[in-house]
Amino acid sequence: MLDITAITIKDILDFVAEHRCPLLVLVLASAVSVLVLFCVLLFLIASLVTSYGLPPAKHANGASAMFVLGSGGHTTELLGIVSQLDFSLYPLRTYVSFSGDTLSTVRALRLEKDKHETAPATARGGRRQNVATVELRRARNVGQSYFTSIFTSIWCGCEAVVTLIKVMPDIVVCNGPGSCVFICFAALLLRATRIKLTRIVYIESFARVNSLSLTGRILISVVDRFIVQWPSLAAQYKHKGVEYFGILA
Amino acid sequence: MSRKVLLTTGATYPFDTLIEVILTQHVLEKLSALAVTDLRIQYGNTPTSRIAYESCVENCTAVLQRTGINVTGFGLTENMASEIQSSWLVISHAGTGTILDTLRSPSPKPRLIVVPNPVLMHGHQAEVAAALEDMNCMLYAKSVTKESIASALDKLDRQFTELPPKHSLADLINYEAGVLLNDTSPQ
Repeated sequence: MLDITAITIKDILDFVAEHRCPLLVLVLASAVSVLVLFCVLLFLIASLVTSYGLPPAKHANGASAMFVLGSGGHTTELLGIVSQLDFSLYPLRTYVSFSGDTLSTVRALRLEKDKHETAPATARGGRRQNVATVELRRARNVGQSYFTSIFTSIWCGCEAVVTLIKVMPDIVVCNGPGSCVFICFAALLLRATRIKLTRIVYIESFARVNSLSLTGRILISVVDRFIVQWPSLAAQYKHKGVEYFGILA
Repeated sequence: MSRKVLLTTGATYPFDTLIEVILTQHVLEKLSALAVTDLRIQYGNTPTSRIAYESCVENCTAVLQRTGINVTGFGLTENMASEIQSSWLVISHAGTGTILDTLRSPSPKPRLIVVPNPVLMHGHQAEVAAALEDMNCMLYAKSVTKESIASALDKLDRQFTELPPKHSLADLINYEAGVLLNDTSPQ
């Protein structure tokens, strides 16, 4: 009678060495790699989940901020919020926009110029001010088929990860639409690997009165702060930790 | 004393029916009764909208002459904010940009009537319009008909409520970014 529990790893290795069975080696190797992958994934998820319990890291010398400009009305709303920030607290500012939307970059740079003229930011701790603009491939263009959008989305996701690793923002502020999901997921990857504990603030558009946008519904459980601009939405998603302070636009 | 009405149709979707409805005898006479002298029409940047606008103006030349309303038009402008500020009344498609620009413009604020584009009804423009009408910040004409616009024009003498001031997220963002050093509690 064979006692399965008595089989040790050494027995298996001996068996493989004795019989030189290539199929068994293959099976064992794949089993081990799946197990390792699973453990890594589990570790990443656990690490990500615990990251939500941590308070924001302190940045006495100012933080690196990434602002994701959606286009059109989204850009207007986000730049309105950005304009209220004290830029001396954010010596590193990166504006992300998506292909085909050059206007958002222009508007961000105009805001930078206006801010500089009215209140020149003097960096704390002598840190140099650095403003950067990044343009990412759009995940899905208007009218693009869903099949091809899978590939453009993968590309957008890869670009987002590369950008996040390059910029290493302390905070990401975004308000949709679609493509900002990839930036947020890339930021979550940084958090899970503990490369950087990037915090994410998502602001639902002023145009959303009674229902969340698809982007909002995707991001609601993963961002650190989720802000809505209408009381009806706040009441509806109170259990999800949604916050409401009033109109931000 | 000139009294200007600004009509906006938005930049992304044509809204020719709104121009057609405003440039009818019924609505123009209402505007004239409200002592309106100028009507500025933003018709959008598609060539067809321009043609539609021009033919509408042509069709009502007689009424315009009789009422003395001076109609001018433009496709798009960089300077919408100053167009809005100099108006007594803004009749707008329900674009949130124009709504906010109008409701946040410095005093004397123009009155605002919003007419959502039926093509975009599946969107959220109508929701914003309804919510802001509930707050008594503006008037909402639910359909693109001369009756619904005329009934909105009849209600212009009411006292409108100011939109609550814009809340700043700076403290929250500073806290999250860890740059709010003397205050450790979240907002």
